Amino acid sequence: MNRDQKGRAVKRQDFKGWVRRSATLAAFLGYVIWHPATAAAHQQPSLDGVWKLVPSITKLVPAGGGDIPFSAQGRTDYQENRASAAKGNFDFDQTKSTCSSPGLPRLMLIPDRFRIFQRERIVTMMFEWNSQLRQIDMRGGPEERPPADSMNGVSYGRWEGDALVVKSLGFLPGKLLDGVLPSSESLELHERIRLKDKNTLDDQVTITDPVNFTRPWKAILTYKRQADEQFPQDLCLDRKKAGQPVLPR
Amino acid sequence: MVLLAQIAFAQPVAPGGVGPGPGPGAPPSKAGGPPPGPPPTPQSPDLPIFGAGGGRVLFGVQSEKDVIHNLMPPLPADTPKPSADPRNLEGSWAHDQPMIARVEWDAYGNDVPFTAEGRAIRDRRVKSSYVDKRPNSNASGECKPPGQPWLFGLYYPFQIYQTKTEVDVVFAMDHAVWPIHLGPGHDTSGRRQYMGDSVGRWDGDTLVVETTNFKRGLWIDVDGTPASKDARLEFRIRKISYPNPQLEIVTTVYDPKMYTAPWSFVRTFAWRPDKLIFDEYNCESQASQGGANDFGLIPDPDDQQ
Repeated sequence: MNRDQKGRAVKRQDFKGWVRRSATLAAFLGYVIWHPATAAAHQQPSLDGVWKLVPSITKLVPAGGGDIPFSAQGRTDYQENRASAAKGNFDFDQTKSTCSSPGLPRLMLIPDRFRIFQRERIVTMMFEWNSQLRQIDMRGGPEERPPADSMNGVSYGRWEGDALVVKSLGFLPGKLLDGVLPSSESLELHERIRLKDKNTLDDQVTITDPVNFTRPWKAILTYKRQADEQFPQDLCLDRKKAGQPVLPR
Repeated sequence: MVLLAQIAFAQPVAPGGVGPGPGPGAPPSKAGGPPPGPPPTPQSPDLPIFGAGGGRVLFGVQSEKDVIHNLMPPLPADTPKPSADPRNLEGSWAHDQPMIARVEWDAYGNDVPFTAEGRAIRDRRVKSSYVDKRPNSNASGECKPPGQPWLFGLYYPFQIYQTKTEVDVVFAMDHAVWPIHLGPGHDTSGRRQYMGDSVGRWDGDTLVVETTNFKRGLWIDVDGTPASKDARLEFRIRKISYPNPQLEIVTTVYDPKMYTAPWSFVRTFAWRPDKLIFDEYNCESQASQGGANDFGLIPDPDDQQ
């Protein structure tokens, strides 16, 4: 009896111990997994790597089709830009005429590669084209318009699940959204950047500019992961001087 | 570009191509590795900074210190700290010494060992700026990457990013990028680039980078101390703390065309996590529309040396 009881008791104690240990482990893992900070970290995939717009596109088009909701002013400027481009006159295009920064979102359309460095307080995009830089402020401060407008404006980012949500504002007037679409200083961009799969990055860009468009509209840019290689140093001004294309085709 | 023009025209001091020898504040000459500790404090605000790669200060030591203080006020106590890993150099940094406009002495207080040609080029550029009032243009004046010494010499911040195979230094000024390959050998394709071709390796906790194959000659400082495009520069980069976190870069210039012997200078950089987001540096528009000429800068006859 003692032997049996002892033997069974030992087995029961082992089983109870196993249950207790398992419950403790499960509770600990649950805490770790569902703790807000850990959960957030788990939901933040690494966007690090080298990316390239695929397929290469030069024009922003509304996601899902349809027309761009031009305002009267926007349509007039758009048509003038197209007419000017058709004549080979790109004075309206600071990037083609001077190698100026394309600004956003056009920088995201350039079909050369860019590298993402994702860090806790900043996400930096280092572009192969003319060594351009885009910085997304992840510090969680107020999303204020900067004291001075610029081509890239300022970008404030935060994580929503697995999506990097970015608001950009503070843009100079007179720059282009792509090769012909006008934009104003009222422009605001809202992006949702997320990994579609480990080798595909989606950027859903919502464009709000009441001067040029009657309502916000959305375009989707898709990037494919590239080999992790060092970029050659590119200088647009040298290419322009040599009569080579300012922008890659 | 604007800065270069301002520097060139605002210089109030008398012309002169050759500076004095080491002064009373110069540290003793010695050979071997980099000098320990931070650069010496100047003895007088009226004197140039001696030793440690010192030389003439553009607007006076106190004026430069005021600029630094305005650009880099004390950081709050809760400011993020750099990584404790000595091999992790990531973060934002900015030059925290008074800017040396014309380097006269190496890291040990010795005269910069110019060749006749190197000295003639430097003196001609100084004369062009301060006597003729027709300063020469350099790469930065043309919105092109001007090379590491120039970029590290001014006060614009830069950031370092690291991967397993690469270290990238991203500068606010000229939106220049310095890619460093952590690998065994230089580019053998014959390609020359404005920032050169850089290979890095770790020597203890110091990142040692060798850079060569420049596309054009460099200006080591704003008065035009030259390095030829065939120069080889060695950078020894490490984190130090005197008493705040700093980055120290000892640059050694190997350039038989311009110098009779290798020589070194030291620069330090403050940890500045507040310089996370750079002001946009979109110099191309100006460069395409008159550019350096609009600022009164004239082409440098020696920039292809």
